[in-house]
Amino acid sequence: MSESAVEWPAVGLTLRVDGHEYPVPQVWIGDSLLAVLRERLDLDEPRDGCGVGECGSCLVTLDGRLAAACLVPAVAAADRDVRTPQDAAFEAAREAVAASGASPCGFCAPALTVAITDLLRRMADPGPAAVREALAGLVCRCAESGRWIEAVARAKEAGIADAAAEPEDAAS
Amino acid sequence: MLRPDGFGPSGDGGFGGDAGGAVPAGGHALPVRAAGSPEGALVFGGEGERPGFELGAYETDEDDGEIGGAAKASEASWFDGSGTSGASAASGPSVASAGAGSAGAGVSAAAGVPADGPVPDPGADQPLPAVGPGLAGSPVAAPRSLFGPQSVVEAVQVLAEYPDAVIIAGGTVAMPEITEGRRHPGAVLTLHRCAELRGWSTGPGEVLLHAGLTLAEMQQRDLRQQVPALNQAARTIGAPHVRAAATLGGNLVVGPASADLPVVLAALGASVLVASADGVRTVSVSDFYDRDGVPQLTPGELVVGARVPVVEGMQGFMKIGVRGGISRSILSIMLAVDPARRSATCVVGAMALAALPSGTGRGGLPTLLRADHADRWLAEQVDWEAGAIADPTVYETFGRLVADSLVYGDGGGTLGGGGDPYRRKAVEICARRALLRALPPLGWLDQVRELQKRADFQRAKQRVERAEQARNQDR
Repeated sequence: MSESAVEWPAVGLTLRVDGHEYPVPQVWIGDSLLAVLRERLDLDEPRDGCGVGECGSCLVTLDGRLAAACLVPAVAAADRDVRTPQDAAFEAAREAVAASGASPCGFCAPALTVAITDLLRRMADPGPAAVREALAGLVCRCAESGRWIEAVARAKEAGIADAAAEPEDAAS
Repeated sequence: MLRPDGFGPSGDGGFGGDAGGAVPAGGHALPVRAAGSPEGALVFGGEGERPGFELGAYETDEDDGEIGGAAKASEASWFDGSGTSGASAASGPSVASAGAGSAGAGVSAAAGVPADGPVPDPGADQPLPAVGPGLAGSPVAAPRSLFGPQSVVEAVQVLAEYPDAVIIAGGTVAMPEITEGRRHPGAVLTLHRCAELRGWSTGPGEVLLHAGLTLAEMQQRDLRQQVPALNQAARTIGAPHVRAAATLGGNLVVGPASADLPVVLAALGASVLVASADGVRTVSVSDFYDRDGVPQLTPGELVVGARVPVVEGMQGFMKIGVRGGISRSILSIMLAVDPARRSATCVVGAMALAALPSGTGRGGLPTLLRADHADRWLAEQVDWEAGAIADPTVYETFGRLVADSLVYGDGGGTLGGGGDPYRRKAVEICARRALLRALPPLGWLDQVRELQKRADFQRAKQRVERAEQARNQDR
């Protein structure tokens, strides 16, 4: 931190994504988890929308909690359990989203599956108002929220994988 | 792999969970200046005890090359007077109390150094690794650029040495700045492993919110019952994925120009706890910001929490954004009534950053605006015995007084001066409505009760009639 040139301090770290360990050398300390997932690991299900946490299309879960991957420093995700929309835990919601046409263009479909799964893990039977509030962070411009509510209902019927077990796996 | 941290994988989620109940009331003792210690020395975690810590510079852990190698966490529990490991683990924040985090912290608690030992120099006990493994075997200069402290003590030590380090807790403020290139971090300090900063704890007559308390956790029922306005405000901020990450500390540091929680905390008479290598200072939220809404923090200081007094009266938070859904505030207003002290406090803020719809005026009131004279006037108008207001014109007048008091700078920023008619009108209406909800007109509650009684009677009557009809049909 002494020379005039701009420094890009980098570290090596190991990310645990969807249960797999990915060693990633040379990650800039300012890189977001989203950038590392997409650019370094080629896991492109979290979409790169706005990059600053506004659009919600990069949702993942971090130790079982909803998180926008663009707001998480990659270095802070290194010792935690990252689940991208590709993970099997989101299978039920993914099919529900597809079946109800909740994401016509498909850009935010992965994020929608994560958000729906997270909602159903928190609330067993969310009403329409709760669904709207929970999905308010997804800035989608092509689906009306009726389809989202339908998708949540379908996902609920299909059954969401038990959430309580997942963080326990992460800790062990 | 058992990590000494873990981001509270207890599944409490903070959404109405009851995990906060695990916090014992006794775990609230704040660090105080020890009697025998030299001036300015603050003893974390008990008198005379200095934690043996090792700075968690990630790239120095050559054995496994991962974050978290520095498991020798100090267990100088910053929030505990006792400083014993057991008490610390039990009285830790609610999030950690049920998860693997507390277990790991308890295990690592034994790593203490003898009492009165010299404070280890962070730079001395770990020589800087000049070269680390890089991509394709190329040598990579690895200065200390990444810190993941597990305690407040470590964090302030790091900050004392690297005051320019970018502090990242939730990441919702710092990460957009870094991503957009407005900030180039030479060093990063992440607080996600700092279990001490998570959650909240209760004390006699007050609640201690730790700086790492997320907005989602503010919606926990236990906390909601004690400080309802916190939940009201937290629900209006950001999307669920932002609330799950954003913390109290970040909201306080952003300041009242655009953040809502300083408004709430100022109206409640809360104070901010700021830690540095010299100790912890307490400053009231109103004094924490200068007239431009900039938090008064010197380099090397870290916001570690806020003490909020618990009061019985009604608390009302209102916010107007540029749209109905999630958005930045055009203004936020908070009215807190304290019947015990017979006072009401109204604070307006968050009026600087959000752009207004065109043609409605200009912004630029970045600081907390208190309506002290309106509050004093109001206190005389209230029938405190009944918890109501006799004169119905008080509501209108109060709204006008609050709007009148919003003067900023030399008066050019006066809302009433024609600069911002939209916000002035909005403040008037919000203040009036907040007061109406907090302190209803005298006799109004009786009327409501009367109406409810009448409605109950009607319902009972209809039930009887339906039953009679059914009997007649059966016959």
